[in-house]
Amino acid sequence: MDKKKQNEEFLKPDPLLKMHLDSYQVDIPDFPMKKNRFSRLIGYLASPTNNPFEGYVNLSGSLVVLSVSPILIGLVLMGIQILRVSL
Amino acid sequence: MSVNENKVSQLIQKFQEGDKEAFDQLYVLFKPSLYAFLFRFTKDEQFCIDIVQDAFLKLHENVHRYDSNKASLKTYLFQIAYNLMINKLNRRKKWEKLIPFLIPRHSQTIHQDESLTIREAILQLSESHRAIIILSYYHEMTQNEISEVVGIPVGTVKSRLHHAINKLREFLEVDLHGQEKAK
Repeated sequence: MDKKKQNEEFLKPDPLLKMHLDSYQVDIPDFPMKKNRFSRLIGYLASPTNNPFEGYVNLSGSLVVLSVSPILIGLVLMGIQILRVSL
Repeated sequence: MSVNENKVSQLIQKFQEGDKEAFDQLYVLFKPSLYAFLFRFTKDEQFCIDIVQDAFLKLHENVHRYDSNKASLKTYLFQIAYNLMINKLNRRKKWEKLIPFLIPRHSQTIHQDESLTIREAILQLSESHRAIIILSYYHEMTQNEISEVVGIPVGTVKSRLHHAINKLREFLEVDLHGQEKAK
């Protein structure tokens, strides 16, 4: 028995599952055999990542705090500087 | 020995004798199937390209160790690529725990009420089951060859294959008689 027949044997009672499996075809991109570290780095940097502030943003009201936080931090730092100069 | 296997053994011999073009031909011959295996496993194009390139680099370095009496070149190459992929995925999982936002995002959450496509259903299988169904169905590997690639006993391959098919049926909502389940 050839390999293909042998492997299809286990799917004999499952024509629909076989049809699903057959429908999954993969397009092969064109790429060289030798790796290019620079293009790997670019690929890594360009890939989508999780948002580190996602959990924070999802909380109600925290989006407002997040957007005004640079201004608040700036004001606090400014206050410290004023205190240092005045003392 | 099939025509293809004959051609492969000739190319290996030529490469071992110093013909560099023979290795390029091996790359052309095996790149599509190796990439397809990795892509069906991970669904991550750039990751698969990296693994294919690393696997061929490793094969280039270790081709003198390859013994055609022990395994076919396809099995040997797939074994290299599978080990590289699993090591890289494990390393990625560790980093994901430490710094989740620096790891590329690829997985998608699938709601329970949605029926899955075959791509998604294969991805939902555990890694150990996924490799076996892909190698068995799409790459026409025997259970002995799969056991060499994945590094598990033949008996385990058989049971995992059986389990993987049942899981796929469940995910795709296909019943035992090959009919779509009524929704």
